[in-house]
Amino acid sequence: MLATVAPSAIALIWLLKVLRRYRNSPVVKGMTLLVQPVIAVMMLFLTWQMGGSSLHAIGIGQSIGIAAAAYWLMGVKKVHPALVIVAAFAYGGFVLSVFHA
Amino acid sequence: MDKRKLVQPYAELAWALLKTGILGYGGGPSVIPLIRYEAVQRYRWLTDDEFGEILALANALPGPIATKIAAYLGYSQKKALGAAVAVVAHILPSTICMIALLSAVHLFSQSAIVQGIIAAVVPVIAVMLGMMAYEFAERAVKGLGKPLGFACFVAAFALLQVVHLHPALVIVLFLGYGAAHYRTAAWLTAKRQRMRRQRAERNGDYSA
Repeated sequence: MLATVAPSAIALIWLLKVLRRYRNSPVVKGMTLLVQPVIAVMMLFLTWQMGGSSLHAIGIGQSIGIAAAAYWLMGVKKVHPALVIVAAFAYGGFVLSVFHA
Repeated sequence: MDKRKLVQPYAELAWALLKTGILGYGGGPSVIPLIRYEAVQRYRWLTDDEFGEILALANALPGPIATKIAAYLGYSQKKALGAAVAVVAHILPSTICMIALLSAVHLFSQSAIVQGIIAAVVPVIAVMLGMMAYEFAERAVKGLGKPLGFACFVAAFALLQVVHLHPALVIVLFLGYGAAHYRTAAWLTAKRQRMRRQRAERNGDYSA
């Protein structure tokens, strides 16, 4: 495990070190800026995939209900994401296991 | 001298990444929002922009993404030892789980309770990823302006989903243009100003 990650991790550390050194150059600033839209689109794909697998597993009602509750807690109430996940664990263990077994 | 001060950074690293390791069901990308929360909001090791850079580069390099980010965070705080602590803390929970449950895999996957738990977490992860997508998109539009920002979304979407280019290659392409972005923008502004000045001069000649 460590052996497979080490070369990439070292490359990442080194690349970011170089970026930090030229922090204020317009070249690095432009690179940082242009990376944002790509990440946004990649995250969108991941969201889509996760949503799809959730629909497949527990159907639209449960999926949207859980997602809405999660959004309300994290986005509006600013609850720590870890707590929201623990709450989902509990809901899944007690409720979904009974109704979706 | 002060023992607590010496240990605290390592303890923070270990605790932050232990949490992400335990709660990041789904592995890989689904852990990213959790790591971001710990690193940017909770412990303020770095800014959102810096996290974006790390994410982009980690995405372009081979190997599991969360482990690479964990290694970088550890290194940025406490060099090599920090990196080791962070990686071990991040992969320990899942490793222990794997070993402990390997013999009971069949039972595990059959259990309705475990299946319910896993199923309930998926929509939560989807929301977290969606919120993150929105925040990155917001920052992109703020930095690039609406027309160019949306053009970039469309271009990234087309390259990834229609052309099916490797994500690493798409990131490299955008980084390449990014390196020249401010120079291009400055050149365009200068050109536009020159044209406006010329037009103003011409109009001035007519009226004179």
